[in-house]
Amino acid sequence: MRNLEKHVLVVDDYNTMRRILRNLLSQIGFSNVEEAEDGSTGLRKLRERSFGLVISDWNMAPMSGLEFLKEVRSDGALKDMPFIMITAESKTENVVAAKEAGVSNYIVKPFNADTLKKKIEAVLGEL
Amino acid sequence: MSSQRRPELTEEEYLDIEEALASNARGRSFLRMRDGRARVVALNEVRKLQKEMKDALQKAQAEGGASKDDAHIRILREELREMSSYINQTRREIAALRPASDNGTNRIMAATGELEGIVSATERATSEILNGVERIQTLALKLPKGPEVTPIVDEIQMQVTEVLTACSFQDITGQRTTKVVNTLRYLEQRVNSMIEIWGIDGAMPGLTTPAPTPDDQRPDAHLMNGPAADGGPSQADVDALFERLGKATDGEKSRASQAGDNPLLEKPGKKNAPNTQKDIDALFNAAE
Repeated sequence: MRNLEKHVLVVDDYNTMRRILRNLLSQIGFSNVEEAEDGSTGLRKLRERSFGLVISDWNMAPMSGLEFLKEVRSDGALKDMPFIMITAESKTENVVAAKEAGVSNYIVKPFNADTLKKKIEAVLGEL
Repeated sequence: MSSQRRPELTEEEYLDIEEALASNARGRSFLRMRDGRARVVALNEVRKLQKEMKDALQKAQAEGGASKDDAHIRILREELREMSSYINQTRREIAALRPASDNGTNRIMAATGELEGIVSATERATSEILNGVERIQTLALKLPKGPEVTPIVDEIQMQVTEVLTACSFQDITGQRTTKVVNTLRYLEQRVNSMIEIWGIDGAMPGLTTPAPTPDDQRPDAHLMNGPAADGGPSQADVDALFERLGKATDGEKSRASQAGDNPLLEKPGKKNAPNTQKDIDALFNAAE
């Protein structure tokens, strides 16, 4: 399957942010984009169908992005899922915690379309 | 036992420590417990002092009031009057922190409401901007293809992308505002606590103490501080950190995570400072 044909799951509690990401992903060439408003909904969706990439915010409730990532990595069927964190949390301790939990890449908000594309390519390969 | 006095904190140091504690749920729980204990101690002290003064007065009166003791009693009465005056003044000042307004709320609650209103308003405005931008995108794609039109369509798409990413401001400002709202709620809890201590509620009908907001129970709550106050790091800093993390051994990373003091992860002169994307990228590349 070509990378652009992969299903992408966007997880963010801000509707505006999900909409922006969906639109940017569409411009990059992804046509199969689904949304979830928090980690637990994201986890449920990941278990329901096959996805090729997860792009998640960190600061969400009740399940945060980091907890969501840990759940994904501890699930045998999902443990290798490419997972990009997009967040305003950018302190060293945040990056270290995400890296140790197995995040594939890390984007700091506010970001631009070029950064998003480059990070997706770094994780999935050429688009 | 040493008789050496422990060094006092400066006001700035004290406030820094208090602010650090107040920045997370466990710290706020600690402050509440500390206030509660201090309240009991302070009340006990005042009661003890009052009792001592009362006993001294009664004793002096019982002894018939020699002229030398009369002077002491006058001083004691004056001191008691001053104490009473200070206590009343403190009560008034605390009460003034949250006077009831016309609509039954108080200033802190009103400010909280205003900020929440800003978040809602910017969310609505952003949504409308996005609607407009998406319509422009759709219309641009409907334009006929041709050597003159295609570059214009491409330019429109590029500008639309700029507007879309700029709209992410709403997420950032929303998070910042939420931080302020949480601080206001915390302040209100502290003011309510003081009102409770001084028994002002009874003197000011209509003032009620709302239930405290439950603390954040998420396991990584201590890591969620929102956007950095100084405008945030660049992606390059974060990328460079990722590169350094990749070069670090697992043991080093673990220690860094626990202590936050791994020299590999520190930016010169900025302990635990926000990072740029470049730091993180470099780290990832090294790991592969």
